[in-house]
Amino acid sequence: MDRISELPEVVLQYILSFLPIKQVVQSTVLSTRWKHIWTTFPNLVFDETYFDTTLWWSPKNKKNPEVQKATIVDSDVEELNLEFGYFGIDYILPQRVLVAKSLTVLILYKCKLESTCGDIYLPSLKKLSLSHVDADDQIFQNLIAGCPVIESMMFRECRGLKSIKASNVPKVMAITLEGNALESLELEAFNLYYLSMRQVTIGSGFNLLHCKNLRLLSLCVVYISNEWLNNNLPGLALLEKLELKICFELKTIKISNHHLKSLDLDRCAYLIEVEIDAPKLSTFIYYGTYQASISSNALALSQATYNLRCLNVPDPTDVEKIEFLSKLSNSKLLELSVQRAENAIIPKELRETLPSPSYNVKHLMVSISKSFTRDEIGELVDSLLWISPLPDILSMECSKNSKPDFDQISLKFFKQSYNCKTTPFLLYAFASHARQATFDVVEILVILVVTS
Amino acid sequence: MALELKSSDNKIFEVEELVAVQSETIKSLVEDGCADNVIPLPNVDSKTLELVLDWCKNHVDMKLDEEKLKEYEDKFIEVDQAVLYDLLLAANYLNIKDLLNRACQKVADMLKGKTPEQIRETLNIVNDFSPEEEEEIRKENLWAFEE
Repeated sequence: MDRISELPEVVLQYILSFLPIKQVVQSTVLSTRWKHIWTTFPNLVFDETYFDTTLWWSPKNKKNPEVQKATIVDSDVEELNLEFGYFGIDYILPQRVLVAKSLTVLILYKCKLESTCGDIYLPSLKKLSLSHVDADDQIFQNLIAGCPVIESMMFRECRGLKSIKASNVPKVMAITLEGNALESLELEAFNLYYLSMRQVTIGSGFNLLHCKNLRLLSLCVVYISNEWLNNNLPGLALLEKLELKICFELKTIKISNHHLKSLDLDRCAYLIEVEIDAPKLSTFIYYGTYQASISSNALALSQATYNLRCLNVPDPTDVEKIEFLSKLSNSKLLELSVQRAENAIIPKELRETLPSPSYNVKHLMVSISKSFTRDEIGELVDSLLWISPLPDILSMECSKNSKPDFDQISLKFFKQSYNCKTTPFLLYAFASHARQATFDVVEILVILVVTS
Repeated sequence: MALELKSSDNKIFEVEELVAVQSETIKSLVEDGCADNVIPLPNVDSKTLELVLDWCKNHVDMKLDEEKLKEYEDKFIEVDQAVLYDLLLAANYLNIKDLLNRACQKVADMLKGKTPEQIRETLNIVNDFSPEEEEEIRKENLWAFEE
């Protein structure tokens, strides 16, 4: 009796996945039942939900799905996505995949590439993404060189990968590297548009001097020095977006890129001085301290997001705060995130003598980690309104578990008189407590509409 | 903690929770708090359940000894086809990944290198294609049927 054909389809597909591709395709001729299995093969997703459909209780299984996808290459397949979870399979990619003429996308996760007798040649491949793929460096080189029209490459935690030579792939537009220890990275790539490196260690000699067309550069946990940055950035005349995250070696940097639209400086904890020469800058995100001296010639930002933490340095002085806020709050949307209310408070004496830094802020958002007191609220709002006197919306929140110690807040605004030819306003404030099942957030939304 | 499992032929098996939760199915029952009474398994007979539980127990006992475990697994899976299918179905139903993996591998081993005709013979599959239909399929993927 033919019991095997009675097995659920997913199980049959799984059995087939252990067989060489040729035999899988041959299975189509076994019987009408088997022909059907093959036709659904290219999209096989063998994950927890398949198992669940055979159960008759508890449809809501709360577990972390370990997705196991095994797809088999058809001679015309365009996209191949092979991901292996903890199934204990040391899957070695079949050679056939590496000469698939029609393949345009190849995504591999947790498998091996072994040395093959034949060449690797993927004439249609445009996108290559390898995560946790082990192979000798030579095989990686052969793979890269065997993709003449590749446009996007990603290598994440690939053991054995030592060097990348972009000049072998002149059409490449985007390269992403994560968790690799490389000896050399040569980026002679005229078409390179996007480069992202995260937790990559790299030998000396790495430079961006030949990537004249780079538009997006993201470096996260990469050991680059001030000199390296100051040597390599100016040549990137078309750079539009720059992200420097957790680059601890950076202390004094100058960013001079006239097309730059977005800059993100995230936890480069030892920054002392940053000079930004980017008149077209529209978005500035900064996660660091008030202590860094940042100067910018950006004419007007659309978004300024400042996550101002103490990061193991002493509290900022008022002068430091004022310098920071007055230089950098010229933005339509200003988001401030601080630990304590006092980090955003400017003393009254100084507010009365110094001019407001930004009339352009339309939406001011402030979030504070630690709870603030009733007394602080008044001064906080006054400070914020000094920074940005004419917002359409001012919203303040403190994070969960640190509710302010009051139930109702009445806000008295000390109104300064200034030349304001804007539309008539009304003063309106309300406070609401939103207690939800999972977190306590007290949001105080102050909508300012002032009558002249 | 001990759990009670009932096979399709109404035999009760008492097992340690640690052993039983190798089945993801049983694991979620335990997590959902539905495992206080006897857990019925209407799709698994006692003969198969006994084997499955033996697999699970040994996987707990020999967890740290890879070599010994592999030896056990190789020996365990040397069963006749009928038992193999029962194990497959049970492993699928109970969601025991490593057992399903091993059992599927075993079936695949049985089929490796065989022509479709030989596979039909091994597995008792009836060819319900007409000669024309079969010819058509072979032509569609000629490369797979060439020597």
